[in-house]
Amino acid sequence: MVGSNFGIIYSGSAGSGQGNAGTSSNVGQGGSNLGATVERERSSAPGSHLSDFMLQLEDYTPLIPDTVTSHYLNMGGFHADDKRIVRLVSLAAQKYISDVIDDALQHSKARTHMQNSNTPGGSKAKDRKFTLTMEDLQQALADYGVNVRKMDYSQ
Amino acid sequence: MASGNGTLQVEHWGSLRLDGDAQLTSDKYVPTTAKKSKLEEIRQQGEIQPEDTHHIVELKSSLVTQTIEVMKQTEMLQSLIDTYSNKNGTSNYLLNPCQMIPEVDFPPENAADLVGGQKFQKPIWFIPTVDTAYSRGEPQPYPEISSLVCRQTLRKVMCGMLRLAGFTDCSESAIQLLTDATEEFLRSFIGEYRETYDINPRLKKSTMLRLLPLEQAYTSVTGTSLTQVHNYYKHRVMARNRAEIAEFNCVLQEYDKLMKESQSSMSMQKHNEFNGSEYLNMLDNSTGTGSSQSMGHIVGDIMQDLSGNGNGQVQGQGQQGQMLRSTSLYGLLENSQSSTNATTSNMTNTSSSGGATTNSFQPNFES
Repeated sequence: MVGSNFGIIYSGSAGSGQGNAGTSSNVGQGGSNLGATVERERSSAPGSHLSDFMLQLEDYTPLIPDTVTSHYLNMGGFHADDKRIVRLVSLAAQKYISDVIDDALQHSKARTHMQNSNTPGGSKAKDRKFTLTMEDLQQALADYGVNVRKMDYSQ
Repeated sequence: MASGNGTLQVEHWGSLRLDGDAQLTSDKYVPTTAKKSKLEEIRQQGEIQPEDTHHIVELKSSLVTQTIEVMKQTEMLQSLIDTYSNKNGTSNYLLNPCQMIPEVDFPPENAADLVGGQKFQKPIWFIPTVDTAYSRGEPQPYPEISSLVCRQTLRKVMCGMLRLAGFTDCSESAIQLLTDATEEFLRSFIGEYRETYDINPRLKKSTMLRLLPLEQAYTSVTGTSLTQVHNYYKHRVMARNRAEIAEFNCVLQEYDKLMKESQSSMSMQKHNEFNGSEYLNMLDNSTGTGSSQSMGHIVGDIMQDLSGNGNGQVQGQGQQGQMLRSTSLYGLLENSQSSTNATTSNMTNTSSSGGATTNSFQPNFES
């Protein structure tokens, strides 16, 4: 997925996207000089493409307000007055939440499906209602390294 | 250090120097006599008001809001379709003839295209950047808010994100947990961002926000590049918005089709509906035509046949048998029609051209 939109390569995800495959073949045919050029491009490409992307975010307001993100940046020892970076951090956090919630939704769907199939004569009607429970969220967060445990007295 | 006469001169750390000859000059203090006049001067300037520290944190993302609204409209239309029609097993809907589908009015602005086609189709580096304060990176001050307000704001953000994902309900504790997880992510991400500054001697004392350290920090926290954020923005924000709008338009078209079908069938039903005045009109040989499905319509048809469908012709043996079978229905109607004997006799007079068939029904009416 990485590189499919930007045409850039990251060593950690080589071969995962179309752009990666194409560029890798060029490197193989080009020899050492071309390889060095591509390496130089590799080092400069992420910054330039990211700055392009950052500029396109002007029209998009992330769901997390800039004020909230700037608060956390200030707490981290930064002078958060660059709207472009603040917005990028907001969007990164929004992506994280979205990933967690999507995983939780999959867990919720699986659980609902199991319950319906185990119930004899259960309703086969299309159920569009999904409720986020702690159980689903715990499973989703565990995939992101957040382990949730109840206190001893509440178990 | 010992002095000449044997006493030890002690000098305490932090002790005040006693400068006996220091004099306060007039510019360094306000004499007591002048204080009253200065206070009056300040009072004349007006009461000192506390500084207004209220800031409004806007939770507004037009693209996400539109996506959620369109999703709700689609759900509403789908539930209306399910209510007023029966699914036939295939993709076609059979309209329930007894119910009329209500009209819905969604303004077209709800499904307006907020994302320019250029941004959606072209890769980002082919889109020319407009020279604005944002693109120049001009510093913008943000109001200072407390951590409590941040948490409250994040809670609301979580609700929006949950609705966007497809959840319709959630437990309070789950929202709290999600808020905590998000806050933890922001803290760890920004903490990592700070560390990338700290390990670089050139950036160690810098507080300015830079892009490449951000990329490094994101990679170390999530294991992926910030370009994934772009992919998220493109595929799950913009493309999702378009997909939801397309689905809404599709369902709306289907609904419009059903609504027109419903309206036409209802108008036909109204046209053929049986009522007292029409019954009397039928007796006067001036009834309308049309198909019938209800009891009233069956009676209407029979009456139509009785009156010879406008021309009073008997159609032979087959039709006669059909009409005879219909006598039972007239028997059912006998009690209700008993008060109209005078009219019935009138009918026999007016439908004299009905011939033998008409006469065969006459005893039923007379009894």
